[in-house]
Amino acid sequence: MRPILHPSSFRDPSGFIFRIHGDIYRQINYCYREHYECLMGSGLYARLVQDGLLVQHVDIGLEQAQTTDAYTVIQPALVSFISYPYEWCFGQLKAAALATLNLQRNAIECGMSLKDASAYNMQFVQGKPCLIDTLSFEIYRDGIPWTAYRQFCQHFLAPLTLMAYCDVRLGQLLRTHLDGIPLELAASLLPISSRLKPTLLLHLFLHAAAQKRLSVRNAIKERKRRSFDRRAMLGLVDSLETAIRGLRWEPSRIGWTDYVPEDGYGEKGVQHKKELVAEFLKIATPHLVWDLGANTGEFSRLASRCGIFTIAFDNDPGVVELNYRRAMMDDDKALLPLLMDITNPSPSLGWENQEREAWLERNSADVVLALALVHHLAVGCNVPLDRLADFFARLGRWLIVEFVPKTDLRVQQLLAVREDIFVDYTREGFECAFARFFSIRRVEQIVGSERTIFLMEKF
Amino acid sequence: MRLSHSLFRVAITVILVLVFAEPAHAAYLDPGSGSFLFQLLIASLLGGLFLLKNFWKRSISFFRRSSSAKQTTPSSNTTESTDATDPPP
Repeated sequence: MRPILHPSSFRDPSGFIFRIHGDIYRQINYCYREHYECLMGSGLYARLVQDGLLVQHVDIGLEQAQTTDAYTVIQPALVSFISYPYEWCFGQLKAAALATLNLQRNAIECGMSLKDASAYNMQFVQGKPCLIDTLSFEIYRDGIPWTAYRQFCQHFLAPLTLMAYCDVRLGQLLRTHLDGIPLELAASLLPISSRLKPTLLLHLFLHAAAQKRLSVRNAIKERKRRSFDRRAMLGLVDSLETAIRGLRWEPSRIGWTDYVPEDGYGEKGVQHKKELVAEFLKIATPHLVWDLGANTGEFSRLASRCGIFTIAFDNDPGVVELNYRRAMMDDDKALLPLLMDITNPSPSLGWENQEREAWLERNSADVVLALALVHHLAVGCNVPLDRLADFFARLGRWLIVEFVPKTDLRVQQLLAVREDIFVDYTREGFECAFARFFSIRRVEQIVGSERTIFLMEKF
Repeated sequence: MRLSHSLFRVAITVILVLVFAEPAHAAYLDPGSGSFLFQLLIASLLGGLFLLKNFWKRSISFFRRSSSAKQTTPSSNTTESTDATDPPP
């Protein structure tokens, strides 16, 4: 089988990623040999892998080498799901930023330095941020500033500051600015109060001004006169860490953060629903569960607590934040909360629209949970039921879906100030639309409500 | 005193350079070189602050260790002298 080169792995001449039979390999080119040997020989690799900060790999030699300039090929451990910074909540982006600085500090101690600080190089593995680009390190050269400083500020500091000081939704600017939010843009949006923090004044505002006013000519001139010693490098990392640690955001009680599922069908109904979902999960025996519209992950945990890797998607940054914090507190390594608007999911982005994959192109689930979601999509967003069924059929083999009828309080709220144009939105209409793609394995009514839960399997 | 004087000098230099530097033409502007130069300008400031912070942390840690040693073994001179010579973590 011919290897498939990864479409985002083309910028760094040190090597590239390719895929054979679903396995990921990374070729390391001869030009990176010295740095790779330092990474492995200095103890940095072992230290970072032990701390869960760097993805583990196996050196498989030149057997799978793709070009003549290969030094070696490594096979990194597979990451269950690739997520992007615009799909992370505030806490996740902050954790990734601190992990990046921790990586840099460790690297300096072992005589190396991070040559890039891209947020896309960090992935959540076992619930924690982990560097997946093994070729991100270079041998530390005394006197040279941190080459990844600008990238760190654009990928982490600027979005986190905007989220903390302006609006958490400004994190979505990362979707339009793939190399991070330009510092002058961040500086123009931030309130004056943010300038009062010395670390932000330095790394964001003065840094933005420097980018605007200092040219290459100045840089060459100053390079001859000044140098950036090891203490300055450690000082820079320390100062950036102070800046990042000082940024905080608390979810407000606006949106879905105060949603109580009992409102719809009482405490007994919730308990019954949990029992049904757990039972259906046992029938499907999944390895990967996607919970769509997961809120704070109450039902996602039924899967993740059994060790099933579960991704809890929601479009509300507040509930994703709360879900992430709870997963951290419970040390739930199988749960990954992510920010995703099902009606407008992450598209393909970057060079040739291939650098960052669209949500639906990444991988599919074994079981999709769609609990109390269909009425939002069908009634709230006018998505016809047959298109919804088609959509769910693309996501995974099994579907655990809840149907909420028009008589339910929640649907009545959705229809309160609008005309009811949803003539097909009935249980019969729902079953008819979904029966075109799925076999209905089980149907159960939730105690104390008119809601129904279905277990369906794709044809 | 010398350190604070040096930090003040760095701060003034950064401000003067940023205010009076000739603005680079936008089309030929590489934000990377601005970031590179900016780090060179603030190198002494970062190094100095890092030194101060570490000195402060070590002092606090030293006094905490001394006072906790005094509380646990108030009559023992051996513990005190060991603590005084041990480098703080």
